[in-house]
Amino acid sequence: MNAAHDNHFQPVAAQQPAGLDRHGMDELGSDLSALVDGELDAQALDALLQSLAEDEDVRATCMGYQVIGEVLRGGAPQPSTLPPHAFVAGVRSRLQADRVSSVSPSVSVSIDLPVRAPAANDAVFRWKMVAGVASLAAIMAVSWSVIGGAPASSGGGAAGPQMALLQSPAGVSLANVVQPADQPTALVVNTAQGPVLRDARLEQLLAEHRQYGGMSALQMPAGFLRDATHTADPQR
Amino acid sequence: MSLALSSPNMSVFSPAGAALAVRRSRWPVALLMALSAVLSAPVQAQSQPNSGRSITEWLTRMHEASRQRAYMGTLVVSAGSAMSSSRIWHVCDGTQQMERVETLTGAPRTTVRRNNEVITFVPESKTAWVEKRESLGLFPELLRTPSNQIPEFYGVRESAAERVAGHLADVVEITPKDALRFGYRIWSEKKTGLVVKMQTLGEQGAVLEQVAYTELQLDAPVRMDKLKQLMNDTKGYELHKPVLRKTTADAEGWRLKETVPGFLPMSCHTRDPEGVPAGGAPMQWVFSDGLASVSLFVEPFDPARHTQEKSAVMGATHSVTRRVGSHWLTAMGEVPAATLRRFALALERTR
Repeated sequence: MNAAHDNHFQPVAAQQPAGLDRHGMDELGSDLSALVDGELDAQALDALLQSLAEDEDVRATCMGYQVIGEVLRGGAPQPSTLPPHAFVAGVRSRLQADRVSSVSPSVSVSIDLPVRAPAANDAVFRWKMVAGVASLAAIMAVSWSVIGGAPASSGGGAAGPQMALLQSPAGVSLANVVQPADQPTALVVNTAQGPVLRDARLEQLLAEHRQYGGMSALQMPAGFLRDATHTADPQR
Repeated sequence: MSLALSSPNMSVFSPAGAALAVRRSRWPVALLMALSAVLSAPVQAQSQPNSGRSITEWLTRMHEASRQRAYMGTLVVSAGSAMSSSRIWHVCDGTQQMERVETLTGAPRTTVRRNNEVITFVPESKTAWVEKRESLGLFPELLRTPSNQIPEFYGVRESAAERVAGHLADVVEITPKDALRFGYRIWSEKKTGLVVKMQTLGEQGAVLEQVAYTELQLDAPVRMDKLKQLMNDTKGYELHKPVLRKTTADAEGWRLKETVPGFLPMSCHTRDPEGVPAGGAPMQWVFSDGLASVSLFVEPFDPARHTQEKSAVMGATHSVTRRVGSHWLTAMGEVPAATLRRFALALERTR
């Protein structure tokens, strides 16, 4: 996730002037705008948060941007019910928490926040943005694993469970298996052998293979009788 | 065995024999005979059940057995954890062979065969399916032609006779010479050669599937006229006749860029199942190495149905699916999944 953040933010941050130690109102305005647009680098963000914590005017300007933003997005202005300084304290605490967890992800860090930042700030755009970025990163991560997993399932990936099945002396029953239960064509049905997962299309092809594909010297002495006894055709 | 050994032993070790050998200065010959008798004893013991038949001779014998006999019995099929059984009647009058299979498990179903014509009655739905099975007429003629590749890819081994369904049977093991196919263990009734039990063997001899008679009456009074009558009695049944359209893979725009050792193309057709628009039916391209067969089903890719490439297995039958451009391939056969993957990777569009 951190990597995703980095990827997302770093190329844009390179365009920002680094090392702002004093904010005029114009600079402040552009920094706030960059923050809302998600284009503020870490250093500038630190400086901005510092000034938000110390300067009442800056906080007022920030609130103004929020209201303007809400109106531009077509929603009714919903200024935060939190005092601005409480909000800033919350943001700082969360940032600190994030830093700690990014350094040692296996350590569970519990920080008492002065405010319930995420829920109470539901109406605040930056948090939606952060949540949006996080969701996007999560979706991308999942997508990558899905995309990456699909070709594997046709090759070595599928071989794993299948070989395991083959090695099992009990073997497996029809349609039994390697496919997950949520396949659109798969269906769990109760049979004389107990509930089994059935894939009607696969069974149809299996029946056709047996009926027209049994090209074997063993077909006449055994194969035909075997197939007539143990048919897989869902239609018959 | 004791009889076979007694004669050389006596001639060599009896005092008279020994004296004769010494007197005529033939002791090296006598010693050789004694040595060969001793050495050949264990060999004879091991090879005693070996009839010396080749794999082709065994398969031909099994065919001939079902061609010349009348019998009835109960057959059990076990594939994975599933088990089915049926009652079998078989009769042959020299020119035509008839068979009736009545299922004892699952939905009641009667299948009647006359040579390669097959009709399946499903009493519950009052439907009957009429088909011609090309595969039934193909062997054993193929065994006698140069295209019989079975001996090249399979070996044969016999072991001590066993009893199946009350009948003494030769146990013939057909072993694959590479990892692209499965092996078979066949119990062939000693006098007639009839297959009374068969196992399909996977890696390390694991039994993937087996078929066996639990009860068998040879030379049973099965009447052909009764079976004919049954086959023609379709009154009250809705008849289905699946239409197969013969074609070639080449004509359909497909080829294998690399052949799979031992597997020859046998037939290719499209089948127009009811309810499927023309052109939507899959092409079935069948390959065989003489014992194992593989079907390649190729159909237009449908994103709604063909969501994931996957493998499945039922007893000895494996299947592997793969998307090939705008088509979807399902490779299926009584072979290891790796063999199917070779087929899947070799299939390519020619247009």
